[in-house]
Amino acid sequence: MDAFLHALGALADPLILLILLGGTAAGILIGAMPGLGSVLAITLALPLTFVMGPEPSIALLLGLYAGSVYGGSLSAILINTPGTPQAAATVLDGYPMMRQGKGDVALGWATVASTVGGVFSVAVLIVAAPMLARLGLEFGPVEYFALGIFALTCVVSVSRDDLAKGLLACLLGLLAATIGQDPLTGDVRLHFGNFNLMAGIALVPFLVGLFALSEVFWRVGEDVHPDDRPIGKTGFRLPPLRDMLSRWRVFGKSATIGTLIGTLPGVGATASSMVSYAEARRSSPNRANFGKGEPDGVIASETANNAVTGGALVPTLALGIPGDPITAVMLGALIIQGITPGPRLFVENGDLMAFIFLALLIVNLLLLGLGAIMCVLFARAIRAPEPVLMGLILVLLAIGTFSVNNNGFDLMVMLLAGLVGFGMRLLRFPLAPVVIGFVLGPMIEQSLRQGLLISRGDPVVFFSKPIALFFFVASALFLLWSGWRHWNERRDTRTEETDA
Amino acid sequence: MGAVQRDHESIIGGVAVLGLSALLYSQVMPGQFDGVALARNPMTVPRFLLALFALGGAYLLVRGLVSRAGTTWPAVAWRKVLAIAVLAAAYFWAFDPIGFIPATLVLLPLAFLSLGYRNPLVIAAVTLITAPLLWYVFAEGFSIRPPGFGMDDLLRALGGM
Repeated sequence: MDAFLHALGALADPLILLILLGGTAAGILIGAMPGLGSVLAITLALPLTFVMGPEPSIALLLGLYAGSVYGGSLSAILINTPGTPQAAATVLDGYPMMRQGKGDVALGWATVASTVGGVFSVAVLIVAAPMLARLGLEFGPVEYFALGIFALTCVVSVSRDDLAKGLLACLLGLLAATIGQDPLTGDVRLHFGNFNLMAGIALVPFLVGLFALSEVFWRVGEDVHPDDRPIGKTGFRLPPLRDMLSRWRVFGKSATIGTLIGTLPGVGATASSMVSYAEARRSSPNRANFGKGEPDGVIASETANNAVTGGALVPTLALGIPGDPITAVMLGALIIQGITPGPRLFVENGDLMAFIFLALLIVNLLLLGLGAIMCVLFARAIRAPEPVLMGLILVLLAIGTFSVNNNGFDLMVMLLAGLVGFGMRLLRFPLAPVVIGFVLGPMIEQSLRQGLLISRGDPVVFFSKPIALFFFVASALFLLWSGWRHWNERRDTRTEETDA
Repeated sequence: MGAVQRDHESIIGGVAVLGLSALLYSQVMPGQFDGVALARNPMTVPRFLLALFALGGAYLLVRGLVSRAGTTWPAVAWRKVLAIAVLAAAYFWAFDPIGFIPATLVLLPLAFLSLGYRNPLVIAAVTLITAPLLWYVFAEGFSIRPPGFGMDDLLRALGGM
């Protein structure tokens, strides 16, 4: 209790509050710019932390972290470009809402969902940090493989119009993820003799090209008069409280998924938002509207990716194991401050731990106010005439993607991904399964082969662990249920045709 | 919009998948890893995925050939798509060697004009503001200097005069 009172005293300092506010606003801005992301946001602030004390440094980093994860949703909804990879699933329903003229509501849902996810994860962080850290350590290769397979089954849900095309799109993503260095042996594969491909295809240019650049091509090709397009005019509107309460299941489930996955080292917010989206898609009463502008889709993705912020800090602080690259950078920042994360941190730095918990809570609450202001500003910026907007997006995509690795080859990857995405749209292949396969592919392959190595090639090992077994059974049940539902829908359609 | 008698989307999609499979086959089937245990072989997963991919492509092609369901193509302004694709390719290619500012100063007006926007004042203003502003935001705000000639070079040159 003393620790929390001490932390409250520290947070009452106007300078700390200002740093929290500035860090969160800067995080939202950086997150909203396609190509930049949470890692960049935190890395940029690292030099500043050298000259700051532990508490201001942590306040700044937490603001940037939560702000940037949320900021990715702004560009995802407004321009069909996930500002950060974590917002990839937000595009699937956020942008269709924008096109239907409900962009303001979509931004409202994304903001509320991010706040709910963040606050929930902080509550879990406070109550169950040591316990969750131990659960995360239960996950070995076998469990990760089962989790990956379970997450892949969501392709069935996002490919309702044409399952064959959806599965092929997913395979394309899985294949693209195998390009470059083998994660286990280090051998280089599928590089077509190109030196640049030896490191593999980077996520940012691939994602930005597939969604954003192909969207530019698509919108240009729609041949609408430059001044006729109604979209791009939006503001910010909080959804009614009644609507929020009626969707409590999606909020609760997504926040739980995000927090739990956040505690698993190496999985990250992108996979968590995908898993959460898939889960919402299979269980939501509004599942038929997914992909067409369903708020549950935005809620699932945004609640989960912001819930990861608290979850990922659990193993980082309690065990010194970073859950993702972002927390890895934060771990470095803590060490710079002379703080060594690990089980003894809770005992030796109780005041600081309480400060972290409360600061993250305030940052997540700030998202609500700052998000409302910055959504409006960002939305105004995209009210330009269509050709001007498309030209500017092209420039933003290029500079954002280039700046990640300072590599011109990334721009070529983005161009190719953009052309492939355009072709896929033309042939009515869904884009989401490509990203799902690309994001989950490395985890699935690595855990599969590690599991086989541990068991000396015996596949039975994958069915011998309770957690893995749970995921396999859940996957099988979901596939059976999807098949049954599909069969029922076809039967109903045939009956309707016969009646007609 | 034009109605067609066959499921051309599936036929073209199937051919594209099979073509890509053929391209990947040369990469996935080198003999250097033959004899390596499955779990240690870097090609195990790519080969499995490629087999599924090719099978899926064949299925799509056959489905398209057999199906009598016609489909409709969306109307696409191909000239504009081609123009923006060529401009994007040229811009991305020039981005690093020529530099962000010069490449952007050329791209933006060409992109606006090729997409049918003709207001010269707006074109000039947006172009002249965007390139230096973005350069400044990235170079000073994010400490990531875009490639090529920049505002710092310009200021240095002006200072030396």
